[in-house]
Formats: sequence, structure tokens, C-alpha cells
Amino acid sequence: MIFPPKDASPAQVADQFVQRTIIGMMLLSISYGGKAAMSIVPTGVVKVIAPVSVLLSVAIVLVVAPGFIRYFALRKAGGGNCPEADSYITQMYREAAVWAFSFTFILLMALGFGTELGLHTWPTAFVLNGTIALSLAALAFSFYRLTRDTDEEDDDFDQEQGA
Amino acid sequence: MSGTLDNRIRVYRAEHRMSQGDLADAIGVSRKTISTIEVGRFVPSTIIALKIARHFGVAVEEIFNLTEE
Repeated sequence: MIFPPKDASPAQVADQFVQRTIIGMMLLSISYGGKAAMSIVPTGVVKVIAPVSVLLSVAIVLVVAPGFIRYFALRKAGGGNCPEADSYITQMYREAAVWAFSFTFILLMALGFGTELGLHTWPTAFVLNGTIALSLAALAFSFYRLTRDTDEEDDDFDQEQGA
Repeated sequence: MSGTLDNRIRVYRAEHRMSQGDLADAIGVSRKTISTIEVGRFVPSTIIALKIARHFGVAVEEIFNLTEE
């Protein structure tokens, strides 16, 4: 439910905000992946990646901004009696963040170990942008994995009775 | 100590002829939160559990039950 209806409840708007943020992080991950690639590929390829990176930045704003504006407008209006921190989507976001942190920590340890042993001589920009890209991707993927099988069916007993 | 949290939300919803969306709106959470609690995928916070119980006018133990594995 990335696009809830206009009359969506405050809780649905809060869920939508988290879901849009995750999509934004996935796009940001691709953008950072492009930046990482730019430090190791030939100049000709950089000229292709650069405009794609700009388009991704615009897409991130277009995806995240509406949810952000709607969510904070709702909060400002005092229209949220929902315990947002207790919602399923927020809890899954936290779990995904823990997974992403663990993954990033292990990745950084491996990179540090590799550097000490002289296994790679990658440019600093490549390592930093690549790590950010993988970290964001880990967060987005973990969130997707945790929430992919959630039931979307509703049990409307009145409708069942009327049928 | 480990166990499974069973619940009777679906039963109470049926008795009150409420959809998941109706219950979600009544206690101020999203429908996905209710549906995932109902199927046992998500363990609700104490606040949500108490709100559900209060909405149906019963003790929280009437709706949620810890089953030993």
C-alpha cells in the first residue's frame, strides 16, 4: 500500500511514509552504486552514469516527498493518536535496520581486513560509496524480505453476510 | 521462557461484525498491523494489546493467550 487513499487513517499514512522511505533508500543505494562505479570505470562510461544519477536523485525526491509532507502535516495537525512506534511496519523497519547494521559492520571488518593484508587497492571513493550503497541495499532488501508475505486480504464480516 | 502468543481477535471481530480495517481505525493502527497480529506473525506491544481488549470490553487475557511450546 504505497499509495493510500485520500481518507487514509493516520496509521496508514505513517506506514506509507516508512514504505516510501524504503523505496527512496533503494533508489539512493543505486545512486551510490553509480557513484562508486564512476571512480573505477572509463570516462566514457562516467558520462552515461552521471545523468542517470541525477535522474535517480529526482526520483528519490518524487517518491519520498509526498509521504513526508503528508505525514508531517498530519502530525502537525495533531491527527495521530496511533502509537506509530508500535506498528507492524515500523517494527519491521527497525528489524531491517538491525540486519543492515550487522551487514555493514561485517562488510567494513572484511574491507579493513582485506586492506591490512593488501588484498585490494581500491580507490577510497569506490570503497566509501560502495559501502554506503550496499548498506542501503541491505536495509531495503531486509525490509522487503520481512514484509513480503503479509496478508493483504481483509475480513469484512458484513460483506460476507450480505453475499 | 519461550511460547507462542495465540489470539482470538478474529473471533471477537466476527462477534462484533467488524472488518480488520474497522478495528484498526478504532484503535488507531494500520490494517496491516491488525492482520499480522491476527495471523500470529507480529507480537503486538502491550499498548496495542490493551487497546484491542478495551475496545471489545474484555480482559486482555480473553484475547491473548501464551501457549507453552
